[in-house]
Amino acid sequence: MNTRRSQRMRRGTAEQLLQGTPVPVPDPLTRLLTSATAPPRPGELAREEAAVAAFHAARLAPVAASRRGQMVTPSLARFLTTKVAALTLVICTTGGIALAATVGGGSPQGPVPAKGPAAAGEGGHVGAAAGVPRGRQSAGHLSGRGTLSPRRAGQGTPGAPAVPVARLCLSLTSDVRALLTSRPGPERQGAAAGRQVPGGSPRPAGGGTGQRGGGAGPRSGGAWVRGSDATRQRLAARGQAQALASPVLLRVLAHPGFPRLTATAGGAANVADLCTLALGLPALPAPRRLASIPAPALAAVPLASLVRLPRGVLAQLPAPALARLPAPILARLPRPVLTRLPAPAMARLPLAVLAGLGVRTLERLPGTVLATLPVPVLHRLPATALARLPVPALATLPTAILARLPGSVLAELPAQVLRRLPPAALARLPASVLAKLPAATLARLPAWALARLPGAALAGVPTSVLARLPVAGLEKLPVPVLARLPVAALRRLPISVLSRLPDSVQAKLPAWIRARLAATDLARVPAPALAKLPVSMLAQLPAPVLASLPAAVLSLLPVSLLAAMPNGL
Amino acid sequence: MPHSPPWAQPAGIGLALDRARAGDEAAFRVLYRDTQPRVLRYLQAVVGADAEDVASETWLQVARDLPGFSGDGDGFRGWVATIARHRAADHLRRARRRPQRATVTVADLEAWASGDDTAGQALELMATEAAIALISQLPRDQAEAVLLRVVMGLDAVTTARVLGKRPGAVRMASYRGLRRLSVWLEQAAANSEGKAE
Repeated sequence: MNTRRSQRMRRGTAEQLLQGTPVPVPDPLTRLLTSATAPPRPGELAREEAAVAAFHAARLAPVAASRRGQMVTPSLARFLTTKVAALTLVICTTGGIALAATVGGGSPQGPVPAKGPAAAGEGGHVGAAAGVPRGRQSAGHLSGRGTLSPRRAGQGTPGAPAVPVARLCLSLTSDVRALLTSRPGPERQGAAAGRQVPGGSPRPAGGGTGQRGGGAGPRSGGAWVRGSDATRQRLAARGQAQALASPVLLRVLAHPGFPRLTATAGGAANVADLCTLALGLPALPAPRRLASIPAPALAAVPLASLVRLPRGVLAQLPAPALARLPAPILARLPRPVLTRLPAPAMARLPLAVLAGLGVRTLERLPGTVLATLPVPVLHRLPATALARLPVPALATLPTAILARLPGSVLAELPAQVLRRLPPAALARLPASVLAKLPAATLARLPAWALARLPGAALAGVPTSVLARLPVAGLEKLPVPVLARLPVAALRRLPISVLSRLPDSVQAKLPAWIRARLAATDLARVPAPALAKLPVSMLAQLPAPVLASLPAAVLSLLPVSLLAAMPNGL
Repeated sequence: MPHSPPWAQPAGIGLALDRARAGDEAAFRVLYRDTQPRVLRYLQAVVGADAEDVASETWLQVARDLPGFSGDGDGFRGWVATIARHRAADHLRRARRRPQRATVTVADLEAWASGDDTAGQALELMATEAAIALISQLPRDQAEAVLLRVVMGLDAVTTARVLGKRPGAVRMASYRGLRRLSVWLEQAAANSEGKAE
């Protein structure tokens, strides 16, 4: 502050500098501010996927009571933002919620704020570790198991898939467990009911036995429905896995309730593997076993299982199933698979993956997604796809890309963008749009395009440009504009137009044109009246006018003048 | 050499905001990519090395409250800056300590002070970090005013709203901040010339 240069920087200058306006200030300061505002570096966007996961989690959460002021603990935030893998699973879990929501269920409980590591330890569930409120975890867990909700299972969910694989698998494991323990309990009843309503609730709602069954560990088929006790869940899952691995399974499959399950799984040998996935059990079937399960059956397994499948298996899934996968998993699939995705799913892919897709695939993306693609990718897209970009996004594109767009699309752009266009692109604009552009821009138009404009729009265009106009364009110009044109341009105009020009301009025209103009004027004067002029004046008349005079008058004229007349009078 | 304005805000930011409010992930990414680097640089001055964590907390709240946000693209950045500032304040209160700010070296200062563009370009990646570190060494009110205006791209009125001050006070703080930066750089240039001789 004690140097002359800095004292010279006034407040107004500082204000301009802060707004990025060019101002005369010392270079080092501008260099410093330029460094501070350098474009984003990749490291600064490293936590993008975490933010997107939080975005999805927030969208999928039921409307909660205001949580204003609630702070996420730093440890939780760090967990949220650093463990991308964990977050991927959050997406899976919340994806399950979305699935449940579409089926007609939602979280029956209000969201309970996550309590950081404590919650993570308590739930023993990835969702809990990643900070998803526990109420939502429960919902996700239940939905992850298809139609597990006792309330819905008992009602025969409307809109459930044609083959309720998860419910049939539950009935199946219940029946197998019942046989193995030789203890006809609720499972047995469930299995019996299952033949009418497969997967009937093993825990009657509000039943006193349910309470006891819930505490009975793996032997109770009802344990898993509570979904709130991690230990019971684990034990129930272990029981189900044992049931699926049991040789008794094939015997139970022969019961009348299960032919649809066998058919869906593509054979009895696949049922255990399909049920492992449908029930979300921890152990995944071997990849070669997965390959023998029909893709439509795989496609219906809960998202939490789907995301654990190897890439090769995922690649075989039908497009609607692929569309359910979270973006980070989709991004790892081979490109040919990605091309099968429906546009909304494709739009969720990371930019880097999108940029690597072929033009024909990218063409299907909605305009708002296309708008986020890097410019080199946009360069590859055909004009029809680019035309779908929203106007504000179009306006930011480089001129070379804009130049390929049809005139009707360009017409939507603001004038300051149009001004950048090359002449060939400008020429495609409708005349009504061109007419609003500044004269300097119009001056770059080819003559044929200029000729389409109304005369008033051309008035400001430089004379040198107007001089190139074809006659049809020149004819439209107002007289004051015509008057400014060079003689070379004027001489192309018809006499009818030239005759409207002021005398001072006509005087600059070549003699033969002036003569034609005069002839036009004098042609309107009756010959008898002309004949009364003195011979000296008659001699000044152009030959075509002279030709209209009576022979008696002509005879008074000098021979030299008559010789110059047309038709050798 | 005029300093370039902050990297251009995507023209479709308003549209992206509307679509993100409706749950469009791609639109949310557009908002994130435009705003996150700015927030991060601002937070580096406020909470130092914990900026990334506080930025993450900021985005958690942004993601949660976005459907209720009503405003345009410019308003969005002001809103995010306000959240970031509150989260930073919470963070500092919890940590009960002053932020460990990055330091700026004499070489950094001389790199800006020198007119050598090649050197400047070579240091480009490092330079952003060092530039933020230098601005962070201003008194807190001046550093915040300069960063919110230059890096977040907010006008004086919005900055004042974020900082809970009057626009005039913000203009004065940013003016003083720039003047002080200018003095530091000039002194570095003088030192650099002295060494060369």
